Order: sequence, then structure tokens, then C-alpha cells
Amino acid sequence: MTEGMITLGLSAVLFAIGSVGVAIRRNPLIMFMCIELMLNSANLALATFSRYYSRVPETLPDSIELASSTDLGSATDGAVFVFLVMTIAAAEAVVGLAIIIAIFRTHKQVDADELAELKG
Amino acid sequence: MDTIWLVLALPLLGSLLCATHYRTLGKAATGMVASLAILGAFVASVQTAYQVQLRHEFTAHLSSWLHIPGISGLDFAALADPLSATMLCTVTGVAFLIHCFSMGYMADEEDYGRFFASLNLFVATMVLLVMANNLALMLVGWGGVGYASYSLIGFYRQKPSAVSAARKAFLINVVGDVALMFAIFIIATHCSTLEFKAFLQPDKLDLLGGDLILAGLCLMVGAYAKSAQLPLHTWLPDAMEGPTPVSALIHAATMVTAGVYLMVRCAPLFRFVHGQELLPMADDLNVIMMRFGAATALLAALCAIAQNDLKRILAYSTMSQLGYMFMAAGAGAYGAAIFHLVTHAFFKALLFLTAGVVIHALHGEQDIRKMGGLGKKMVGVQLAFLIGSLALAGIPPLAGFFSKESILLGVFGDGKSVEHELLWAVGILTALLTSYYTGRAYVLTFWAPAQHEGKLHYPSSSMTWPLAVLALATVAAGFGGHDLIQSIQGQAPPEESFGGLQLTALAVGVVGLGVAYSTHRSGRQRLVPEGADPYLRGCEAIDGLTKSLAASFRGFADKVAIKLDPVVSQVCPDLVRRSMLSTSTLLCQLQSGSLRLYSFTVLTSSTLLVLVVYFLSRFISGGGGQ
Repeated sequence: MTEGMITLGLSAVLFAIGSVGVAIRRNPLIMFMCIELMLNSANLALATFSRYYSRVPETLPDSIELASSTDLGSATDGAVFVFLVMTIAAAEAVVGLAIIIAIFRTHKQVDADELAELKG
Repeated sequence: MDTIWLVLALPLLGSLLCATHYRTLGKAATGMVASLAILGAFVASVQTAYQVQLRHEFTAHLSSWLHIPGISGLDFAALADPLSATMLCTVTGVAFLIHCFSMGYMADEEDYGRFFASLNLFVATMVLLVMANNLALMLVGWGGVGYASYSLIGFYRQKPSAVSAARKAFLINVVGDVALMFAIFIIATHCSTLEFKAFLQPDKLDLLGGDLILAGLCLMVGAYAKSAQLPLHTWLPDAMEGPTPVSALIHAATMVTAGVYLMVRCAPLFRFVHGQELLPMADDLNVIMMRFGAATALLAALCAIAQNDLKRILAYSTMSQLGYMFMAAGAGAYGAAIFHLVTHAFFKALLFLTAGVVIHALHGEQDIRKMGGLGKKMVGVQLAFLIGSLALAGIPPLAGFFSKESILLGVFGDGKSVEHELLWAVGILTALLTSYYTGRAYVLTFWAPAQHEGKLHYPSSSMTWPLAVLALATVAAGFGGHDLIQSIQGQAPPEESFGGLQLTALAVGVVGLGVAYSTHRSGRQRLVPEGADPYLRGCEAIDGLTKSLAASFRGFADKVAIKLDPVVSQVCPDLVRRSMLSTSTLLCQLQSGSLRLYSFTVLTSSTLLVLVVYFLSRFISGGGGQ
């Protein structure tokens, strides 16, 4: 098992924890944290791929075959995407927290199961 | 540029000026401008006629107009020959007199400017119709006179009857326009030219082949709608809703004769069938034209007997006289047809204008049963009406006698076929009826005991002098007949001897007038019993027929609508509504409102999707590899 596979595995575990958290917790704040966790696990995967699997054929795992030598992007592509995702996550946190506060002001409580006014 | 274009330009300019500068010009000047424009056009027409005398015929090109590949002769050009010169002089001459008359007759009207603008526009379009050297340009004038007629019939636009009469006239005229357009299409596709002098040559007409009958029929339908011939005549009596000068100019003297002009202009087309014996049904078109003309003449004359409205009597008489002209055209007596057209323009305009004076004097009364006793009070007017009536009845030496005589002689021909003799007999019978109803109108209006009270509204001098000129023309026009027929027909009319035929015609004229005088002098209102009315009013039956046809169509549509309407407007929308409702209730259950359920659904379904895609791609690439 290579270094890359270890970090990818960590990323998968983090993502699973995040998704399960969103599905089972009722507190929107916790759910929100879990979403952040999922985003960060994706960031980790992106960084891992750009660090270990770009442009350097001998570091590739044996099972992966390249169709051509230009098949992979440059080493910085993944890192750039990480920054993009982090920016979006920050913006999303602002909007999301604002929504949660607004809901708390009107409803005096923030239970995800109770907030079902738009159901059909 | 030839002076012939002045004939078109002056009325057009006058119309524009009257329409735009009425407020600044004022009433008197507006009428003056309109009349002077027409006077100028008349002078130019006379000059053109003189040129035609000198140079025989010529074409004046102004510019090219339409460019359609494969079709030539679509220029903005005028054809000046004896036929168009005669028409131009008649149209502008009569129009000038009627314009002058209108200045007095319409003096109390609010919409003076609109009236003269429309009247000038009418003259311009009529002139365009007459002078056009190709069918397409003629169609422009043809539609233009239809529009001008529409706007003038509906001049009293606050009167619902006038508005609906205008609409009716326009609709029926459009039927004719469309027919004429089809004729143009047929001729253009076969002969690849629309210029009269070009496509009326034998070698071009030869190209039409079997479609010649079709083209001829389309031309005839166009002419019938414009000239109010059976069965497209119903608009003309209703058109009397317009002001009386309009009736005189458009619905008696000029526009309605456009159909006759078209028949004469396209004469080679109708004669071609005759001469070459190309088709077995050779003479059909001419026979149809003669029979329809005779039927119109007779039925309209019968209808005129049963009328009590002075203007409607004259309208039916116009129809009847137009029937004569078509009869002559069908018989090949084109010169006689145009001769009668000219004399009819004079004496019918005279009759209408006199009727206008009478109606004006009686404050709008049009029923001859409520007139009477005017003969001593309005001697000059009475005399003018008498001259017009005698001309219409065909009493020599007035113009009507000569022109009607030349038509009847033309129809009689050599008198060898029974058909021609029968048609001649119908003509004579119509002449008898004509002289009777004319006499009845004259006697009841002027010599029967007075049926009205109150002060008469005497005409001003601007209304009387055109009557005098027209009366003079009615007396004089008959003597130019020989030359006119010769120049139109291209050959001298047959030597006339005063024989039995003429004597018969003269006798029926005198008998008709005599009967009318002896019956109605005492104020008796009708000769024929009331019960005969439905038979006399055969022409008006067409109106009823149209109405019942429309009513039966509407009844059928009603029935269908009653059956179909609930289905379309209730069942169908209800079905849509219910289906949407049930679908949405079903889908609503998916939206439970539980955020956790949503996220769980998203997670599991996306995981499933990834798995499915993964295994599928494995499967496909594995299958492709082996």
C-alpha cells in the first residue's frame, strides 16, 4: 500500500463519516459541520491525486494504465481546485449560518425534523 | 412626358390637397381646387383625344414598374387609342360637371374635405384603370375604384345602413378583383406578357389553348362584379345610400361601366374563339355574355317597376342599361356598347343629378309617392329630367335612341338565327318596360298631385348649370355615334335604313311613356297589382337567397357548435385538470419535509449511481476487450 492510497483511504473515511452525519443528526449546525467535513475530504482527495498521480508515470499504481503520456494534468491542477473548493465552502458557510440564524429567530428552535413546512 | 399623364396626376394632386389642406383652404376653396383639378384633367383628355386623332394610337411610357422574370409588359405606361381616349373624355367630363354640382349639393356637409378628396381619388383611379396599357396596372385602378366607391357609399358614416351598404359593395367588388387576378395569372403564365397590345395578338392567344375559356370566364366574372350584372348585382341598389352626386358619378356614369370597358378592351380574346374555331365550344363565352346581359336587362327593368325610391329606380335602370351594353359586347357590337356607354353616362348622370335636386328640394325625401306637383314650381329641373327620361326611353332625336338602336341592331345581326331574334325581342321588351318606369318616375315626381307640404329648398346656380350642360350633351351626343362606332370597331357600322326594327323600338318607347302618363297623371301610385311584386322583384331575390344560404350555413354551424362546445370547452379542460391533480397528489408524497430523509436519499442514490456506472463500465470494457 502506497502513501497515496493511505491518504485516499483517509479521504474516503472522512467522506463516509460526513455523509452519515448529515443523514442521522437533527441539529442543523452539526449537519453543517458534516457537510464541511465532506468538502474537506474531497479536498484531500484532490490534493492527493495531484501530488501522487500526476505527470510522473513511475509513481502510478500498477493497476492504472495511461492511454497516453499527456493523459494526466500538471501537478498544480488539483491544488488550484482545492483553493476553489475552499472559497466556495467559505461562502457557503456564510450563507448557511445566516439561514440557520434566521430560522432560529423566527422558530425559536432549529430541529431539522420540525422544519417541514414545505412538504407536499 | 405626354399630356396623358396630367389626366392622372391632377386628380391625384387634388385629392391629396383636399385631404390635407381642407382646414386651411376652407369650404369654397376646397371645392374649387377639386373641380379645377378635374377640369385640368378634362382638358388634358381632350388634348390626348386630339393626339390620337393625329397619330392614331400611341403608348406613353413613364417608367418600368414590376420586374417579374419571364413576364414582360409590366410597365407604368399608358395606352392612348380611340377607346381609352373616349373613356377618358367621358369620365373626366362628367366628373367635372358632377364636382361642380357637388359644391352646391354638399355645401351643408361637415366633411366637405373628405368628400372631395374621395371624389378626386375616385377619378384618379378610374383614369388609371382606363389608361393602363397592361392588365396588372389596370388591376391597380380596378381595386382603387372599388376602394373609392366604398369610401363614398359609406360617406354618411353615422348611418348604419350606409356603412353596411359600403361593406357589401366592397365585398362583392373584391370577388371581381380576385377573378380578374386569376385571369391575370392565367394569361401571364401562358402568354408571358400582360400588355394589351401584346397578348391580344392571335399568336399569343394561341398559346392559351384550352385555358382561353377559363381566362375569358375570369375576366367576365370580374366585369360582372364591377358592372353589377346578374348574379353579382346586389350591391348596386344598396349603393344608393351614398350622396346623390356619388351615385351619379360612380354608380351610373363611370365606375360601373368599367366592366364593359374591360370586355371591349379584351375583345380580341373573346373574338378569337369565334374566328379561329379552335375549340368545339367556340362561341360559348359570347353566348353566355349575351344571355346574361339580356337577363340582367330584363330582370332589372322588372325590378325597377316595383320600386318607389327614386334613386333605386335609377339604380335598377342603370343595371338594365349595363345589361344592354353586355348584350352588345357579346354580339360583337363593341362600338355600339361604347356608344351606349357614353350616351348613358350623360343622360343617367343628368337623371341622377336632377333626382338629387328634387331630393334636396324636398329635404331628403326619396319616395316618389310622396312627391308630385313639382313640375310647375321647378320648370328647368323638370325639363332636364324630361330630357333624361326621353333619352332613357329611346325617343329620337335624343342620344339614347341612337345608341340603343345600334345595340339592338347589333344583337339582331343578320337576323338569321332564332337566338338573336329572341334576344332582340327581350331587348325590345326591356325597352318597353324602361320607358314605362321612367315615365312613371317622371309623372309621379312632377305632374301627379302634390303629396308634400312645406317650403321647397330651391337649388343654387352651381347646381343647375351642370344640369344644363348635361342636357345639352344628351341632345347632342347622339349625332357623334357613327364616327365613334367606326373608330372603336375599326369598321363602319352597317348602313342603316329606317325600317321595321327601328319603328318597333320607337313604338314601344312611345307606348310605355303613354301608359305611364295616362296611369299616373291622376296620382295613382301603381299599375301592377301588389300581388305581382314578388315576381317583379326577381333581382332582389338573390339577396334573400344569399341570406338564406348564409342562414342555413349558420344553422349547421350552430348545431355542430352545440354538440362540440361542451366537449371542447368543458370535458377536455376537466380531463387535463384531473390528470394534473392526481399526478401531483402522487408526487407530493415524495416531498415528506424531512431533511434527513432527503440527504439520505441523495447519498444512497448517488452511491448506487456510482456503483452502477462502475460495474457497467467494467462489463462493457471487459466485453469489448475479449
